[in-house]
Amino acid sequence: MVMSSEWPLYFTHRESIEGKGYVAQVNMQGRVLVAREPRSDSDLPAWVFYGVQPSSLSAEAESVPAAFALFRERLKDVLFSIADDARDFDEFQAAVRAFFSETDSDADVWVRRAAEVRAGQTVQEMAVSRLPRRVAHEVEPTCSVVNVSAESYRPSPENNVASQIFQTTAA
Amino acid sequence: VTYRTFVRLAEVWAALERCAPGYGKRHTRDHFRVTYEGRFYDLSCGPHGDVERAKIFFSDVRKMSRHLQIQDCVIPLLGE
Repeated sequence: MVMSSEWPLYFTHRESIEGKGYVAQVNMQGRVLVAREPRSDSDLPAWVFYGVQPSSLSAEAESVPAAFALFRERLKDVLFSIADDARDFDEFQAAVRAFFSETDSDADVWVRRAAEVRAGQTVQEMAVSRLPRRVAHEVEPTCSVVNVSAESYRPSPENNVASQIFQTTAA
Repeated sequence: VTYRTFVRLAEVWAALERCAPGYGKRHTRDHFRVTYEGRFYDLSCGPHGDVERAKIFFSDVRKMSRHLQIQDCVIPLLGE
């Protein structure tokens, strides 16, 4: 029997989305709970990413990297559908910000789990413990939506950000 | 508690009928957007085929029910 467990993680992700008459760059620095859960119809446990911020999505796969890849795909799919609905950039920006800000009970669980880790609780699960670490103040949840088709936008290599996951640390 | 991997979409709709009266749903791209009391959740059902016969990850249903604040009703109905 594999006991279920969950850990608080951060993620970064950047996505280009085409809308009605604009191209938007969405940058997210968010939070997820990653869980290792037994299944009644499988000998192998599942890895599940439960969104915390944004909260209205999840992704399940056989490993942490695979679940994160699927989570990003699901996030992109939600952003696509928001672009389908939005009449212009302002509406898209407002809807993405609302999507990112809305939380549920997992937000409280995330805060409790992060406090336990910062208090010194050891992460025994190697798939989680080997992830890179960030201190909390470096990864406060943020979401920016930029109209990169606007004349005022200046492209720069400094804007390129890789999609990554991090664990929290006590330091 | 140990759950199964998948739930049939028809089971999800039946649970929502009971636990989220007046809920809305519409098919958008690779998912169903479920709306209830001012919140929405995009339930992933895969890109192809007969979506009404789609299998949904139980974890996705659990997350949806937490997000829509109906987990106390949905999970006992669908859990094993």
